[in-house]
Amino acid sequence: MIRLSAGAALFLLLLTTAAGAAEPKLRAQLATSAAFDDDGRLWRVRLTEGHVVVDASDDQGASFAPAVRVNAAPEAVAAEGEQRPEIALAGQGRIYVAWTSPLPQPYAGHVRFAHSDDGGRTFAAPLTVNDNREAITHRFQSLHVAADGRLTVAWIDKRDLEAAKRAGQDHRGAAIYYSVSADGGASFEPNRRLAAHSCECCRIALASDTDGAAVAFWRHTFADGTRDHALARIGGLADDKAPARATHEGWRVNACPHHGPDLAIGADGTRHGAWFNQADGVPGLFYGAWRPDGRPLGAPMRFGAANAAHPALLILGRRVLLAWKAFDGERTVVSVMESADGGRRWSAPRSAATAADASDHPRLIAWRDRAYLSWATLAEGYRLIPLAVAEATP
Amino acid sequence: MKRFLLLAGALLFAAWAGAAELRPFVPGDMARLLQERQGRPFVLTLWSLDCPHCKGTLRQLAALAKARPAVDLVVVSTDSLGDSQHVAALLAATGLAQRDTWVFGDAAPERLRFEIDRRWGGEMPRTYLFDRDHKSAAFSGAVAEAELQQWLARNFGAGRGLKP
Repeated sequence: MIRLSAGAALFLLLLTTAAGAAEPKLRAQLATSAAFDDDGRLWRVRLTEGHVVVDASDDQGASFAPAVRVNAAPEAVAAEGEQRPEIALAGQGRIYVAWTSPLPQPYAGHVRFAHSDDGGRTFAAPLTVNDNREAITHRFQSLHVAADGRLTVAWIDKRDLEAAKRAGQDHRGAAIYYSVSADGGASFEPNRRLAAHSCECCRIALASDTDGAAVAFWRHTFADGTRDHALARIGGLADDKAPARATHEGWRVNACPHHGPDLAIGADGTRHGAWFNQADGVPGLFYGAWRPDGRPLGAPMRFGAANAAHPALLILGRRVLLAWKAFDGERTVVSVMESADGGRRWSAPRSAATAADASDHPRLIAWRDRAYLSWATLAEGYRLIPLAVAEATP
Repeated sequence: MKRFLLLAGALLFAAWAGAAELRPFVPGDMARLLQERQGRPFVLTLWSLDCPHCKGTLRQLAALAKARPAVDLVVVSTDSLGDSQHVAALLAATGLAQRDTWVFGDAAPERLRFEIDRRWGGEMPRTYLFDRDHKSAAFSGAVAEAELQQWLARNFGAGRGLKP
């Protein structure tokens, strides 16, 4: 190591100051989720100083009404990278909010949930969804509301890993646990395991199947050590049955990728997935589609240039949209491409927005048949960008 | 100017005390780091508190630090400056606090990752073994022991292995 003498320290300091050394800054905690209600009002959830806050906009994100605090007592909230507070609207003034509250212990957190029955004027006291209350991993929550109003929260959970450790046994990866609420979020049923051996720190994607049930798409650690993705209906896997492998890049790595997938399901039940993986040593983004029975529809398609990451997917009838971000050395660009025929042919990518400094992962949301990019950025603020239909290239 | 004096004071104090300190890793630091080490081999490891696979690599580095005190180790946490206390505590517990240690100090981690290695997808732990000419081999996950031994032999001669 290098130990600096006082003179060398001053010299280096002058050197770095002269060279315009950047001022140290805190990581931005920008993760924001947004959704439209039936009337076209945009609802948003994010973190401000220990409080999850919800606000709404009647002018497509140009201005927001004063924010309402979801958690009255401040708590730690994960709102960066793969972890984001989430919001879902269920009509008749019902608003659901979920987030992860990290604990001081490494990798530890609790999955938190709160609901409003009065259109976001007030929120019930938050509850903890994970029924295992050890100070261990229950993080990376994902919220889903079915057409019949049933709520599902899924998350990454290490209760099995910790139990194995106590018993002196090896255990591969974490697990996907979930809980269902049939009473509008007043209470949650006992936790269940969707699948053992998930990856430890990649977001889980949930989407509605044709019957309204939740389908999960997540990065898994398979027995051969590869970190490919698995696809399964919530409640559709017999416990301890290994989930089917949906992606086949075969990235074999004992590391935390911090790259979770996204999922959208068409009216015909086709599953559309977008994910990050490394294939033949080259990292990148992939799009693929599967029949409802899990059989793939053709080979996956690589998309995005170098450094493309954190894809978002949206399906509107036959229209499928992909958005992702990439840092080019100066700024972060969100690119968008789309298919008009259910994912067979795709438009050329186009730049939809740029950010000069830190930015959240891009998200795609819809109101009726209109698609929007929802993106929180540090320098430019929150942006909702309408995405007009693009021409497909034959 | 106030910030300048504070920083100067902190640096002078650190130099006087001879203590290693956890420094904020800001844009431009990767280039400075390489420049300061021109013609010299070193190890660069990126890790985070949040990453269960990183602890094994930190232990691997600590073993290397003990067996080969001459090896220049640069240990960069990709956590936020706000996590500095936890980062410093974990480095101290692992036995790496006296090495060249940093914590990401920018609002946008992608900017720092890009400067370190634009081909790196951000997975952790990530380790680079830099040769004298600064050609490097990159590892996601643990460093392959055989390649580490070859790198040591190439850059530091036969010497002792990892185990004293």
